[in-house]
Amino acid sequence: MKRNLILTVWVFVTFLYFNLLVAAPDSIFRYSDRVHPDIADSNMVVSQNQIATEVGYQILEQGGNAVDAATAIGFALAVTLPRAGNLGGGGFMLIYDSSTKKVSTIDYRSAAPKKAKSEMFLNKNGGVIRYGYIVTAVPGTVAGLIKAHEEHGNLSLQKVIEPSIDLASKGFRVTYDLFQALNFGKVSLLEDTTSKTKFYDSGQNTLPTDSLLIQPDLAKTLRLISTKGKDGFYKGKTAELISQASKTNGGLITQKDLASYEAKERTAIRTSYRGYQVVTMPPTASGGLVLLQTLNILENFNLREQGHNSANAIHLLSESMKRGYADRTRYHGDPDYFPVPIDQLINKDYSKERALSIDLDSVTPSSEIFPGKIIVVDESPDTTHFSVIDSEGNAVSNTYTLGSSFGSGVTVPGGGFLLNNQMRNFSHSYGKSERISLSTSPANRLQPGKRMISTQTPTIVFDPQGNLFMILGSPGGGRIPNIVAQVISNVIDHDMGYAEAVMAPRINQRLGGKLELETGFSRDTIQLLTLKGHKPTSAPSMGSVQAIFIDKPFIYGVADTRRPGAAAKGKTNLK
Amino acid sequence: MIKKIPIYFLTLFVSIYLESSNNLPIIDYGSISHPEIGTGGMVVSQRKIASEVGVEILRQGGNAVDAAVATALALAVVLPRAGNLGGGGFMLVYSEELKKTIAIDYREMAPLQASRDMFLDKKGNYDRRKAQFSLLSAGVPGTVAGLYYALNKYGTLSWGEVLDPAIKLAEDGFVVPHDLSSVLSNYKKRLTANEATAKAYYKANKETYSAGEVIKLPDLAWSLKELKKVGPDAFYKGKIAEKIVAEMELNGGLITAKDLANYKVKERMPLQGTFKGYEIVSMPPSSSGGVHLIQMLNMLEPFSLKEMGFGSAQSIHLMSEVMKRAYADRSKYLGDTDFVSVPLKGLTDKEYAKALLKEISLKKVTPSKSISNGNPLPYESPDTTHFSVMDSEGNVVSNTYTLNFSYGSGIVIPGTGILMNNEMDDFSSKKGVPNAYGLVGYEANEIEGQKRPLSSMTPTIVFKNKKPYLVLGSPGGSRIITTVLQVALNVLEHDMSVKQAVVSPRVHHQWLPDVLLMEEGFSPDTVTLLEKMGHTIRSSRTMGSVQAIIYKDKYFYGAADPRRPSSGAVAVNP
Repeated sequence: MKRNLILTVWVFVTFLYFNLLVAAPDSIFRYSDRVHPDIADSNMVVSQNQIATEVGYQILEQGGNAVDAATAIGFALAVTLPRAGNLGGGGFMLIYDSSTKKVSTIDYRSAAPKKAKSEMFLNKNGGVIRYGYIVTAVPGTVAGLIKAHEEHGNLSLQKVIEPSIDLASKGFRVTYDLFQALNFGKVSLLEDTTSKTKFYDSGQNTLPTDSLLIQPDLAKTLRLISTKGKDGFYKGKTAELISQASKTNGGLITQKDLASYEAKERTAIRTSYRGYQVVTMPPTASGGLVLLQTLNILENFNLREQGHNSANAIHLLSESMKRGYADRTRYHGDPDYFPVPIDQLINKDYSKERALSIDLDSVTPSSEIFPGKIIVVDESPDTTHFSVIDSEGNAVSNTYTLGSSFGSGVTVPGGGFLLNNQMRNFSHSYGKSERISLSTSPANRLQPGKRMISTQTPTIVFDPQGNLFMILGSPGGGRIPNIVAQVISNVIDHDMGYAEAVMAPRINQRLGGKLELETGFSRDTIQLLTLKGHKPTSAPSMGSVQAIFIDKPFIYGVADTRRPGAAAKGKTNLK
Repeated sequence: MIKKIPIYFLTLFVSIYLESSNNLPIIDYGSISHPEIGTGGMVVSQRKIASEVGVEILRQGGNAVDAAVATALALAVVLPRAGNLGGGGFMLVYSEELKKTIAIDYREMAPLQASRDMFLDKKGNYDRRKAQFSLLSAGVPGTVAGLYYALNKYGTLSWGEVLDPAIKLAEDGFVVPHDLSSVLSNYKKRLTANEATAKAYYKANKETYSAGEVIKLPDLAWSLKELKKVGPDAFYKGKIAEKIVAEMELNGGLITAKDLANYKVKERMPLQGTFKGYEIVSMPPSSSGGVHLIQMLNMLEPFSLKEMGFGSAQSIHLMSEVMKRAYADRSKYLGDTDFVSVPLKGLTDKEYAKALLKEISLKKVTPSKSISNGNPLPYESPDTTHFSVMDSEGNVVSNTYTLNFSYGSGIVIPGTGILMNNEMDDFSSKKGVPNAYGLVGYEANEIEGQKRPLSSMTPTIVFKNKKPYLVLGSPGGSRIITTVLQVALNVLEHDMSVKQAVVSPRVHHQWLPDVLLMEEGFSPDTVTLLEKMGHTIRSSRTMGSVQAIIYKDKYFYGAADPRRPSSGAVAVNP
């Protein structure tokens, strides 16, 4: 009938209009993405703190290279992000030199004082002490940043530290995020007189939002480093202040410990994942090994087919992560003290064997993957990562930390900086049990001068043609390698937009633990996972991936929204 | 065992226990994204630079209406595709002093000479080019009158004061962000076809501005200065009017001096509904948004979507079935109430909602064709813009306005820098099915002189215990109503933060075509389940751009929708 024909044609026409919605116009923004990256032609800085990002960006504008900017950011975050940015902590840096096309690494993890012995860190209940001078390890950050700068920087040290001195002496405005972090931080900060006076008023109220936080002692320390370099921290006045405070307050760090601390160069480790080269930090960072092992196992499956964040995809991620973690307790430690069988661990055949034991329909119990009771020492989610690329294509991927939020909670009097609480992260129960777990692992047992393992996973990824593609890393304690693995998989397996890849909800699975899910997973998926045998549980947001993606002709910066105040900034060249 | 509980949680619980209510966490670390926070007020718009203009007005002591008008004028400069002087829209104002909400309808009016079949060609077929990209597509713009009306009646600052920031932006220029450059590049063919438009928005040789370059709009600055000098009459009777009329006469448009002089802003009674103890206040016709938002909330109220779970097949199925019925009604009943009678009370009645619910199955899809015979909705452009303002006194503005299509008709009135809308296309001008069926719906939104074309714009304010709680609205054409529905539900039902509520992925069903559109971000498992239930699913580019604010416990939380780059929520922190 004519009517029906007209109706059909009409519906068809309207249907076509609908297709206008479905087909995105040609655009540098993918209009099916809800979130979008920052876009630049060259130069990109991404960090967890807007002020620090601006500092790094300005250094690039002034002719600094990626390492100059990274050094500047490292010092700036010590001023503006006191809970994780630091002078009194440690971390890891990957450096990509675009002229040699080589990735070098700096291990500046904090190290055990010579006098340290495991029994000193255990409390009455057999747990590990959390705060106070006792748990502070010899800081590595300043040594690490200086080493990077000395070997690769263009601008003077003075120039790159200057912005931080400015911020410390003139102050910056307390944000809601810092205010809230300081509230949570009361548990450790109020226990230390110097920290208490610095961050709270006489009524123990936190510095109000929008007030100016001025840090004159920190400015002094930064000036010393600026003029004297490494010695400005590890010798002389600053070293005196640290060791004196340590001695007075039951800590173990001596001037000798400080003078003998060295940041170390290590050989990056790598694997290929579906043709892409994933390069990351070797031990003492153990996160890198977990990441590579997990990806090696994951590679045996077609994730793309399963669909992003479907129950099947999550199941595969979860099962791979479990196996990736299994070797951590036994084999990961400071390579100067323990022979970590790196090649064996990231061997593809080894991973393939692991992959064979994965059943698509049901969970493999942890006991079958790894015998023995698994005790997890949870690492704090408060670490911070930043990524930088300069106009020549040099890149830095850096993660560093104080350990817990605000570290040990102690501020060195006269020094103005917080100290880490990384002594917690050794296997203090070594020898106390036949069963091997994180707390009893021989690889990570405490020895004088040794570095404790870390899950920090600064990473760089190259495309199959060998071009620099991704610069990323994250805080998140034990979850870090899994977070990084998911962002990489989101891009490579699921073709997601770069910002979407970072903001997409994440899971976390560790050996022996529940399957943790951020908010945003469908009940339907959770139900299917339960049917496979998983124990899904909801978790607070995981990590804070500050990442850069190079996809010619543009550079995309993604500041993870999980931590407020994160920012990316890049340079758009006028044509 | 202590060791097994993440220490983070322990610290969290201990801290909360120790804290007085003043120090309660205001950032929820369970969410992936977070709102902007302020204590003195908030402006959220699709262009951060325009939000900053609004905030500056608040800081100077202006109220929410002052800030809103300034923001709207700024958007006319920095968001040329939707911010405008040559278009129209709707504004909800809540006045704390008067303790009431006012709905201001400044939708475009059809010119006196407009006629029902004006967009049909000799064969009786719809002429798309005429309806969308000619001068005939322009309705008499309402924006200038509407903004002035709001300011005059409910603002405190002078017209000149709120114009100044926009004048500065037009004169000094502003930096072109990536998405503006990209859109101008995409639409180059259409926009440079008109000389005045090419002159305004492209460089010499019709080259597109690159991101990072500064664009100045001198003709628009002239118009804004005229407005400052003379008042809104400059647009409706004075020098700007002259130029509009001249262009119309020269190139076959219908708007006359009389049309401009006759333009009227209408103050209307806002529509009110309730949802689980909240009061929902939204826009009545000539917008269809408010009535169907309330209708859909009425239908969903008996259920617990929260228990069904956000993003689950169950909750999406229910929403989709509800949307279908609401849109079937929209097609039948809605039009400009100055010209047709619309059963507003009936449509927003809870009993009616119950009756509709009886036909909904929680397990199976009802095909659209079995719900109603009717005329599918005309295509509405997704390019509109919404902004929300809250000030420290408790006043609120929720404003959506548009040119209809991105850049409207694409025609700039020479000498003024003002783009003309193509709102006439929002009338039901298409022949074909309707007359044969004698449907009321078609007639309700037919073209007629001085009539306002039906809109879906849904600026909304939600009240909690009689105080403004949530302000929101969105662009998105016919998808506006379902977008606002879902963001409201995300807050009121799913307890999400305002930012998470805005960012979360959305779905849309508008009865015809019988297709469930889903943004990216839903689980493939959910999609599979929905298909099994009988849904026809298509993935969609993003829908809407919600700029929302929540006021809670003395804090303003602002959420700019990341879907449109360069949007921004800016807080006032005294």
